[in-house]
Amino acid sequence: MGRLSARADARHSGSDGMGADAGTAVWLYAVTTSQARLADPAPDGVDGEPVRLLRAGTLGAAVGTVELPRFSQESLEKRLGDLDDLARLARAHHQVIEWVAREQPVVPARLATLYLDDAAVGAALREHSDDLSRQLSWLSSRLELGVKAYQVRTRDEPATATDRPASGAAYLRARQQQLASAQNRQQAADAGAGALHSELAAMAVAAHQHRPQDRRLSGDPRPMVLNAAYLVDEDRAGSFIERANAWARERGGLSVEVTGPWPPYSFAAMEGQS
Amino acid sequence: MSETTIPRQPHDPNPPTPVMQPVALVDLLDRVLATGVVITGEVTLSLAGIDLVYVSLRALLSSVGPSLLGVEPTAEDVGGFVDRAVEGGEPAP
Repeated sequence: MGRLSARADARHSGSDGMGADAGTAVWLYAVTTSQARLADPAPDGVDGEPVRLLRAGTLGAAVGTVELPRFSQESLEKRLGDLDDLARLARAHHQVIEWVAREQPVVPARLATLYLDDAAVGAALREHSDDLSRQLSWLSSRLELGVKAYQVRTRDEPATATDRPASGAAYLRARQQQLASAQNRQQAADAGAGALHSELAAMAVAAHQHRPQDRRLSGDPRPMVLNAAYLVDEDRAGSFIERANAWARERGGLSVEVTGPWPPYSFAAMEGQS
Repeated sequence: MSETTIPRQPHDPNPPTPVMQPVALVDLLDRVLATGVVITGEVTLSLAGIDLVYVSLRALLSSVGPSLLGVEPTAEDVGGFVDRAVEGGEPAP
C-alpha cells in the first residue's frame, strides 16, 4: 500500500500520538464520502506528509499531519505572507484536492484549515454532517469552470495626446473627447461582461463572481471586467466552454478566457459562512 | 435547480478536457483563499488564523507584490483577491 492509510474511525485516532502533545496538527484538504477511493500514487501534502482519508460516519476527510513548528498560527502568518511559500502551500493543497476529486465529489476546504488532531476533525465533520452531505450530493457530477473577460483595445481609439494643439482650448476639447471615449469603452466592456455573465449563468447550476484581478497579479495589462466561476453539470461542460469562447468572436470588445475544470472551490461554503 | 439529465456516476467515461494547464497562481489564490469550506469545530486549532491570513496578504500586496512585479502600486491597481479576501466570499447557494 502506498502512503494512504484509511482510518477505521476518527474516535480511535487520539491515541496514536497525532495530537497537539506530539507537536503536530491536522491539515484538512477536502471533505468527501467515507467510501472515497483514492488512486495511487498519492501526492505529497503541504508539509510533504502522506495524505490520509479519515472517516467519520458517512463522511470522509482528506487530511495530513503537519509539524506544528512550521504550521503554528505564527509561522503560517509569516509563510502565507511570502509569495513563494504561499504558492507552494496553495499548489500542494490544490494538488491533493484535485487528486481526491478525480474519483468522487469533494467539498474543498479553504487553505490553512487546521485542527488539533484527528478526533477534532471527526468531531467537526459529525457536527456538520447534514450540511456537508447535502453539499456533496449537490456538487456531485458537477464541476467548476472559471471565465475571465478582459476589455480589448479597439483600433479606432484616438491617439494618446493631441499633436501640437492649436490652442489651449483645442487641447482641452481633445482631452475631453479622449476621456469620454475611454469612459464609453469601459461602459461598453462592463455591459458586455454583464451580458456574458448572464448568458453563462443561465447555462450553469450556480455562479459566483470573484472580484476582477489586479493587473499586476493577473500579469495581463488589459483591464479585467469579469472574473467569475460557474458550477456546471459535467455533461454540459463542453457546450459551456464552447459558448464562452464563441461569445468573444461573435460580440467583440472582450477577450474571454476559460479556466478549469476546477474542484468546486467557489461553491463550497457552510450555511452562514461568509 | 432543475435536473433534466440523469445524474452521472463519478467515473465519467468522457470527462471534459482540461481547458488550460498549468493553473495560474492568481486564479488558484482567488479560490483557495477566498472560497472553500471552513468547518468550525470546538477545538479548531487556528481556523486558518483566517484573519491573520488576510492581514498578511495585504502586506503581501504592499510589499512582496509590487517589488516582485517591478512596479509601484497605484490606487486603482489595488484590488483582486486580497481585498475580496478581507471582505469574505459570497455564500454559496
